[in-house]
Amino acid sequence: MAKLSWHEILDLVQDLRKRGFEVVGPSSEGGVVKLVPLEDATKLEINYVRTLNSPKDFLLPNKERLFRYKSTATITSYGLKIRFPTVEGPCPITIVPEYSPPRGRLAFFGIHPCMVNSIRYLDKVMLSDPVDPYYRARREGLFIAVLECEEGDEYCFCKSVDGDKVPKGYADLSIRKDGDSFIVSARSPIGGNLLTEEGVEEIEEFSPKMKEEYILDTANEKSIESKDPADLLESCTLCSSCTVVCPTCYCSDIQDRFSLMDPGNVERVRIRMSCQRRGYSSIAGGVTFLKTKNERFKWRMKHKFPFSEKMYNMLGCVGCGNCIAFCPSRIDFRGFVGRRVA
Amino acid sequence: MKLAFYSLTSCEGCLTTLITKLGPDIEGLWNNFDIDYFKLVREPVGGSRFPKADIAFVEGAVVTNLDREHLQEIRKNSRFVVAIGTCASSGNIAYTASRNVKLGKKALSVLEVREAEPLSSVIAVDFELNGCPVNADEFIDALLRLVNGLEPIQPDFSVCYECKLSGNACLLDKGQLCLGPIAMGGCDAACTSVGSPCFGCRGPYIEADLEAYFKTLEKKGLKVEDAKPLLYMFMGKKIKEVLKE
Ligand code: SF4
Ligand code: SF4
Ligand code: SF4
Ligand code: SF4
Ligand code: SF4
Repeated sequence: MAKLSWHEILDLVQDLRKRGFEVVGPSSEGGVVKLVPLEDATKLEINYVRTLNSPKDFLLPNKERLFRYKSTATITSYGLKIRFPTVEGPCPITIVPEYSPPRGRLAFFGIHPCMVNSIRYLDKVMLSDPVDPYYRARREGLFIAVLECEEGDEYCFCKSVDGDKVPKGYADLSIRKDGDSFIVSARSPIGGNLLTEEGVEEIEEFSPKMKEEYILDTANEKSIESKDPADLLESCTLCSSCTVVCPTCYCSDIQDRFSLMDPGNVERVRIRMSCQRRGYSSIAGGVTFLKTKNERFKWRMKHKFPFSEKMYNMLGCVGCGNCIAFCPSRIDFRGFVGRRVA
Repeated sequence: MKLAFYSLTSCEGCLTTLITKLGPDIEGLWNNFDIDYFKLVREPVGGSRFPKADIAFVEGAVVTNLDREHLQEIRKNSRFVVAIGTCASSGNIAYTASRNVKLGKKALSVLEVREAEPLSSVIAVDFELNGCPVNADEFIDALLRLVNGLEPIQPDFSVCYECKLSGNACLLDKGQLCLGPIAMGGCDAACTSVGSPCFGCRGPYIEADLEAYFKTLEKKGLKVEDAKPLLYMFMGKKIKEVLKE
């Protein structure tokens, strides 16, 4: 354990950078706090409650190229004919997946416990069989310096979903504010090395003060199915912001990108999807399963709570409140899956 | 495969955008297709002003009688007709403006100016690419899909989606009227990303819910009445249909 000044905290960021980490941390930008690569350590913001984006933006980017492949595109008198290898026979050349270039190791510096828990959730989704190699490549050697949270805002409810406790193996350093200084504890050998300390500390977990607490006693499939969210969703415009800012929403779509210049060279990309969009549940023939905003909202709730619990033995919601705080109409789902107790 | 690019009453910004924004793909366009007419670039090939084309791309609104006649000729001579840009898809600024100004007798007799209409008011349109101006990437996607016999895809999200993906703080929270929640996405939130509200230049989002949007504005203490003139700015005939007015 070390008591560090603000300057020494910034030195830690620099130190990590010198060790080859790409350090990502909260920074104030355009009226909001966001996680950004900290090329300049002094940009670090430590007095904040929530960040508009989350670690997933770095571990599972909005858009990434999975690989390129050759198609047998030819230009005939009828025009450009693109033959998809899966449709018209075996792919003419072997597909060589192109992983994102090694970007050094990632370090999250100064993220709150809810966000650390979101990484644990993403791990469960992306690293369970079959492992996603793109995610794994970014995830490997990840360094995490957790900033303990003193008090949440009116949208936070991490305590109600166990998102306030840092899971084992998910922190290298813990940072606790103490007046103008910071108490920093090593939680892993590499964290200790950074503090030039020996050994790893077991610290007493700190839990943030909550403005609101809930008991989620209706977060099961049956209750979600039976309730009518129409009044709650009166002002929902289906903008999908809730899933974009959610640190655990991982849905994606796969697209093939052709260029006119070189039609035979196709790029397969993975881009962000959302269950609030029509395309999420549309299939060939123009059929859409989740037609209305009520259905899409219920789906989101079911996936966050009963489905995730069943599939990953962990709730898909870490209680960060981002989906409420950044919803243009502040639609608050908490009363739908539970009741307020404090 | 033969393509033709036409222009009705407009600023010709969409065709200009294609030329300037396609980058190296413009060469691909020229090498892979027979471009039998491209307003601003190539005169009609083969004698007719409306050469037979597999796909005709048309920018601009139908404002004059001549526009109307030309459009009908284009339809007759083309297998697919694709409207490019918001003028062609909704009538754009001209739609509302031409209904708000009293046209003098002179305008009607000499220029034969009428109330502006989108292409779809006059002919059957196969696909519409929105945007003021049109988006070059979307144009390529649509072209390649059409060539392969697939229907192009309209974005199924509003501007808010890409606005949030770009990490912007919401302008509604700053008391600025933004049409993002009901505006068709696909522009990568070009305006809100530089701090200017969205005016919905791509028309309404396919699932635009005006009632919910107005409720959202009320929640933010913004006036629905202030939003209405903005709705009419770019969205022309399309917003009229959504508003059921
Ligand atoms: S962010 Fe709000 S308005 Fe947008 S889809 Fe989600 S609940 Fe609806
Ligand atoms: S569902 Fe909402 S509160 Fe839960 S993790 Fe996602 S953004 Fe946070
Ligand atoms: S299904 Fe919806 S709520 Fe669940 S991860 Fe995907 S986008 Fe998020
Ligand atoms: S600024 Fe406009 S586009 Fe962006 S989230 Fe707010 S309402 Fe949507
Ligand atoms: S943000 Fe709105 S006004 Fe700006 S380009 Fe996009 S759709 Fe058009």
